[in-house]
Amino acid sequence: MSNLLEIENLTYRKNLKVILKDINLNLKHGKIVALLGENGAGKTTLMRIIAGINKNFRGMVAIDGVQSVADRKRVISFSDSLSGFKESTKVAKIINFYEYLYDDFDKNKFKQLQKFMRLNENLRLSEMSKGMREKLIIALTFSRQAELYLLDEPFSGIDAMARKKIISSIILWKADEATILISDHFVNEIASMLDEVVVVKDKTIYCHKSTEEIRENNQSIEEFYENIYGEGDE
Amino acid sequence: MSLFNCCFTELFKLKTKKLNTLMLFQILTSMAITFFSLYKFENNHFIRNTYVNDFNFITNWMTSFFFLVLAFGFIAVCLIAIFAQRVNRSQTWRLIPMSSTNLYLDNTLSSFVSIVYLGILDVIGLLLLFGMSVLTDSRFKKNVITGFSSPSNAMSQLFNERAFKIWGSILLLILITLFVFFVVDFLNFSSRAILEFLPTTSGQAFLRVIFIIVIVVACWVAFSANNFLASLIAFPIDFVFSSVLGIFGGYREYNDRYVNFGISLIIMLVFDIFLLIANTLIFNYFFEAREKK
Repeated sequence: MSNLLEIENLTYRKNLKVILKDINLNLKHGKIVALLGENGAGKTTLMRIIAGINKNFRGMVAIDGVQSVADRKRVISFSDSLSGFKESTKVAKIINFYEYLYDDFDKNKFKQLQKFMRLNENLRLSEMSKGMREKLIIALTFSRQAELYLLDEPFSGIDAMARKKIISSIILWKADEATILISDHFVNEIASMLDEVVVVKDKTIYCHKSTEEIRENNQSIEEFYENIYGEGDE
Repeated sequence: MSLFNCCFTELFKLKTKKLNTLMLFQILTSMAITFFSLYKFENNHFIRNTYVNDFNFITNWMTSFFFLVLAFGFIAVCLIAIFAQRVNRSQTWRLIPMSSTNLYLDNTLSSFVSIVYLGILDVIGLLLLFGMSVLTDSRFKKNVITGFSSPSNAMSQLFNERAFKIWGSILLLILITLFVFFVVDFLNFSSRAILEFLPTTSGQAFLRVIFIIVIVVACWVAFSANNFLASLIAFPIDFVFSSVLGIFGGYREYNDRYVNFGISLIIMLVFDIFLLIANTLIFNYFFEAREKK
C-alpha cells in the first residue's frame, strides 16, 4: 500500500531553538496512529506542519505525493481550537462556516455526530464547557470527508464516560482508507483502537512501531511508552 | 462559487456587520451633536439656540453627519485593519484549503470593499438627509435651487479643470486606504516574523521594542524611497502634463499642481504595490498562525 503521509528530513526552528530535528515519518492509508510524547516534545508543532500552518521548516512533507500546502489542506482535517470565532458565536454559525468553506463537509454526518455528542446548535461558544467545546471540535473534524485526520489532544476536557464512548466510535466515523493521527495523554484509553504508535522524543521521531509488534513483546502500549521515557530518566 | 469567492463573502459579511454597527453609531452621534448644538436646557425645557443658524434640525443633522463621515471613516479603517490582523493570525482561517497568498488577498480585498461599502452607506445617508432637508426646509431648498441654477456649468466642471482633481482625489483616497491596510499588515507581519528569529527571552515589552524599531526603519525607508521616487518620476510626469495636457487641455498654468498631484498618485501606487508584494511574501513564508488550545 502506498504512503499517505511522507515526511523527509524535516527540521523546524523557532526563536533560535530547534523544535523538531531530522523527522522522517511515513504513514499508510487506513491506519489509526498515536503520536505520543511529553509536553513540549513538539507533537502539536509536527501536526501544524503537516496541516500546512507552520511553514518555515526545512525538509519535505507530502500527502499522497503532493507537497503543495493548499492541496494538503484540502485532504487534511485538523482538530482546530475554533480560536477564529468570537466567544459570542453560536454553534449554528460555526457549522455554516464549515459547510460554506469546506467542500467535503458533510452536514448529515455532522447531524449524526451532533446527536451522538448531544450538542445544542443554539448555544454560544461562551456558554459551552471545555468538554462540550471539545465534542464540537471532534464532530466538526470528523464531519469532513478527509484522508488524514489530525487530532491534537482531542479528549482533554471530556469526562471519562463520554471519552470512552467517543473513542469506541471513532473508527466508525472515518472512511476505510482514511488515516487518523492522534496525540493524547490518555494512552491507555486510546490503546485499543490503535494500529501504530509514533513516539516523539529528543526533538525527533524516537520510534515508530505497530501495536502488534509492541504486544508481541508482552507489553501494553502504556508500558511501552513509559519505558521509552523511563530510559531517559535513568 | 470558488473558494476564493466563498472566503471573500464570509469575510465581507463579518466586516460589514461591524460597519453596520458603526454606521448606527454615526447616525446617533450626528443626531446627538445636532440636538445639543441647536438646543439648550433652560427652565426645565429644551429651547433653541438663536445664535446657531436658521436651518431646521434635519439640515443641521445632514451637516453634522457629513462632518462625521471622515472621523468615522478613520475609525472604520482602524477597526477593519485590526479585524484583518485577527484573521491573518487565526489558525481557523489559515486552515481553509487555499494558499496563504489567496487568503491574504481575500482578506485585504474584503477589507477594502467593506470600506467602499461604508462609503456607499454614507452617500445613501447623505442623499436621504439631503432629500428630507429639501422637502422640509424651505430656506435650504431655496439655497439648493440657487446653487443648481446653472446645472450645465456644474456638470461641465466635472470634465474640465476640476475633473483631474476630483477623480485624482478619489484615486488617491483609494490608494491611501489600501496603504493604511498594507502598512498595518507590514508592521504586524515583519515585527512578529523578526521575533520568531530571536531568542525566546522576549516578552510583550520586547515585542514593543521590535515593533518600534520596525516602524522607525520602515519610516526611514519610506522617506528615502519617497524622495528617490519623486526625483525619478518628476521629469516624465512633468513632460506628460506640459506636452500632452498643455497642448490639448490648455491648462499650462495648472501644470505645477498637476505634476505634484500626479507624482503623489504614482508614489502611493508604487508604495502600495511594494507593500503588497512584501506582505504576501512575509505572510506566505514567515508569518504563522497563533497556537491556541
